[in-house]
Amino acid sequence: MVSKVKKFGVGGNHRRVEDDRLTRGRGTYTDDVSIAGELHAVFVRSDYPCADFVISDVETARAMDGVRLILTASDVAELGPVPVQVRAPAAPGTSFNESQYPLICEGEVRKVGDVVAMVVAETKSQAHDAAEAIEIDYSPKASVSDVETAVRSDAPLVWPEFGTNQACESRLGNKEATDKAFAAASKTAKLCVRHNRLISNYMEPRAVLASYDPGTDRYTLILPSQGVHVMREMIAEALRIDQFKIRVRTYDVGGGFGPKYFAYRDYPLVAFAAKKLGTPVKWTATRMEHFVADAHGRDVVVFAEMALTDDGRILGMRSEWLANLGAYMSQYGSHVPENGATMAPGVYNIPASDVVIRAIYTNTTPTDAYRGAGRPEATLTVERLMDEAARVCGLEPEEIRRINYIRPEQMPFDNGTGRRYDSGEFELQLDAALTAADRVGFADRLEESRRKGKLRGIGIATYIEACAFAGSEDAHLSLTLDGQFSLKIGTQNNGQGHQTVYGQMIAEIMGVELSCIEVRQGDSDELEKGGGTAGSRSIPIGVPAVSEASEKLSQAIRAHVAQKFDVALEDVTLSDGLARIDGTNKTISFTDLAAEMQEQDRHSIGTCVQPEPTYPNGTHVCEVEVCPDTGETSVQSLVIVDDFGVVVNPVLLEGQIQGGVAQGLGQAMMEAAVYDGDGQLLTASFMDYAMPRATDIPSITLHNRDVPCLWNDMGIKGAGEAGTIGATPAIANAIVDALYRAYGVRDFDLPATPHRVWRAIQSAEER
Amino acid sequence: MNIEGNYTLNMPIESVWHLINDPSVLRDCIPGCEELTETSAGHFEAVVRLKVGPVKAKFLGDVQMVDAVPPNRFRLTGVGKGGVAGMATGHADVELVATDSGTELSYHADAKVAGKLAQLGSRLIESTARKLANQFFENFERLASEQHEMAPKIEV
Repeated sequence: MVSKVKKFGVGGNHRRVEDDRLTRGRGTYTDDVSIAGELHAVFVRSDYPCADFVISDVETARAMDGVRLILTASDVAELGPVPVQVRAPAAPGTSFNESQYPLICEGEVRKVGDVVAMVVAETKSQAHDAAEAIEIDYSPKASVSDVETAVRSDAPLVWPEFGTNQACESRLGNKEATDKAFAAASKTAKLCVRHNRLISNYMEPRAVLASYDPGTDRYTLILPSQGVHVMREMIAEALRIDQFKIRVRTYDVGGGFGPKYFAYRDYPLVAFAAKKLGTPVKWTATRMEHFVADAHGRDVVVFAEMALTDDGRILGMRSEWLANLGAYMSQYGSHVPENGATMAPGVYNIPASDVVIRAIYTNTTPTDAYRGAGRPEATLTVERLMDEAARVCGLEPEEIRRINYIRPEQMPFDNGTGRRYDSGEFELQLDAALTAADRVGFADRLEESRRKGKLRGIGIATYIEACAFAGSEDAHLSLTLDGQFSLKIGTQNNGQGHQTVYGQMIAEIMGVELSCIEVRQGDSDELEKGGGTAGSRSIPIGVPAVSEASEKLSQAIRAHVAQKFDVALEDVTLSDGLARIDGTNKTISFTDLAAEMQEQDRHSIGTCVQPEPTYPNGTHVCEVEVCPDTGETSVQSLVIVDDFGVVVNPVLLEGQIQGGVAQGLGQAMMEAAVYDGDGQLLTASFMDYAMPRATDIPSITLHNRDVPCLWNDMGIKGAGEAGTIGATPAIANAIVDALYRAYGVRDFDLPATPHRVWRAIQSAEER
Repeated sequence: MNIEGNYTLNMPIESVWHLINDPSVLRDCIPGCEELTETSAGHFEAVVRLKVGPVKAKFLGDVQMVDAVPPNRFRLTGVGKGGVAGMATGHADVELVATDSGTELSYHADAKVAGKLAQLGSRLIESTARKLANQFFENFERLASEQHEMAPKIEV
């Protein structure tokens, strides 16, 4: 047992300093901010998935009480489109069909919720009334909402000018070698995995408060983001102005998970209106608007196949991804599935891989990065396929994994689809997870469930993911004149606890309490650049930068003290809020130091450059119980052994994993965005889109078996999305295991709602 | 969404046909109907206030009677615009059969909803539609029997 719990520095167990304020309702979210005289914007959105339209009357609305501005496509012809930031590489010989994502649709809508007009009025209800008075004549056209229909030759075209619904096609691996592997295989396992479309239901819906100052010709936008600098760049591109004409500020953010990283139509439109009217304009999404307007996640259909030897060794793997892009190519829309597919082989030594990724337009809300962004698709596919391969080869799921895991001595390992893993001890991790999950006791628990008339299943998933993608971050640390420390950094807290984690690094090095440290984020005018928060980068890239800045500033402070008292640098220490000279009782306060020190010596910059991603990994073991009469399924246990490299704050890490698991469980058990055959979104509120509740989440057993990362300055791997990526396949495998044991079911699409499970049982019984 | 139903009306088929073609009767029978005017033969414009689950809206309806074979069958096609609540489009085939005791009316309707109606009301819309249809015919029957009593008996 550890006798003394470490408080600060790496491994410090400090509790979140943010929570007192946030849980008492004292946070400041965008909608909490108001400027006197602000006007309110409301969007007129399409009810049709695909239609031509004519606005037959806008004048009635314009003349209504309080209405100050109505914008339609012709009013914003000089603006837009919503920019694409990263594009998937097109395979040789294929075309790249990039849609135009207009700020306001002109004569044609392509999805339910498409923006047809914007109304600005003195009050929100006046804006709503005027929006309703705008008369639009729609001529509906045939639409398509799922990829399997959209790729058929007779499918309605979302963008007729391309002659196809395919936006682009990318290819990874080695087709020739993979074909050979399949020719030589004695066994093959095959599976289609449909990754349900998800909606990132952060607690805080998006909002923006924009103002314009004609004196400086500058805009200020307050909005929830995952990084103000990326946002500034994207909004400037849509407004077609220099990005330094915009100041983006972000206050508290109630969850991001990917979709708050992107600039949507509403931000530039509200800014444009604020300039035109010379008055601040605010817009806050309603929850229903959120369901149709914010980027959705997943919605990929993967056909996957594995070539195996008789004794269960993998010779090759092939997969085709049909990724639903939605009606428009979003900021990273085409990049997400392609980037995810680079992780297709997972933790296995697969000598030959062939992956084709096809991004497909449909008449639905655009998809983009959400909680893992492509890596969950890769992991769920390969982990489900491993279980299928085990059944084909007559092996236990853990046996086939042991045979095929990449071994530690093979590291660094080139996975064949463009990734080079640095480290990972998968078999030892599996052993630890199976022991913690009492794998040997499963037979008894299975028997016990049977006695109760229930089915039981066990599922294993070993995930690996890519985090902290190549990039850099600067940390600016200052000793302020009041003797406090102030950090500016371009990552963005969305609730993760950056103030605590960055603070504990500074506190350790400066010898001060967290109350002496201020963490400043979310103002593009305060800091020239920043990478934001995405792909679990804020700890692996942020912490080394903060650490370096702290060491540099500590050095400067100690050098000043050493010179002042004419002692050696090594004799000066910073502790308990003072600079001290060892062996004497001489001390000096930070306030005095700040007054004495040269201005430039009170500031330091630390930089972390991440050359390639980190690779967190872990093994989840899950047990489920299924009621065969009702299909009701419950997660009985979830045991996780993770490898996060160096862990900065174990308390916050546990919180991250719990939250991630809740989202992974949501995907496995209940969450699904459903479009009907006519392209209407049927799940556009919490009435029809199920979210996990506390009672759905089992008690989670967490263990760490950490192997420091070779690709990171401090050996950190990052953990934000890990819980989600590992939990979904472990739960899915447990459900299929239960259904296979009792009914021989091998094919099952998530989410495991009682109805779907019951139907799987019924159709198995009919066979 | 498909709904169908049938009703037995205690009056002769010609009377039913006559009443069902009378805008004032329809206005009194359609649940939530505030206005109904016949703009041209067989072409009606209506204002109806309805509530489907959590969605309340005033619908501006445009309904046409087509393929009429008096007094046996007709088809109603229409569209209802509910502003921000969304829209509904659809048609209903209505058939009348004379029986010993009066008239057997059956209908088969097919409707599609869009917008908030689909997003919020999709689970409720079928039962709401059925409820509204029942209400309509209950009203119709009551009104018809009143009128029937007042009207001179027509021997068929």
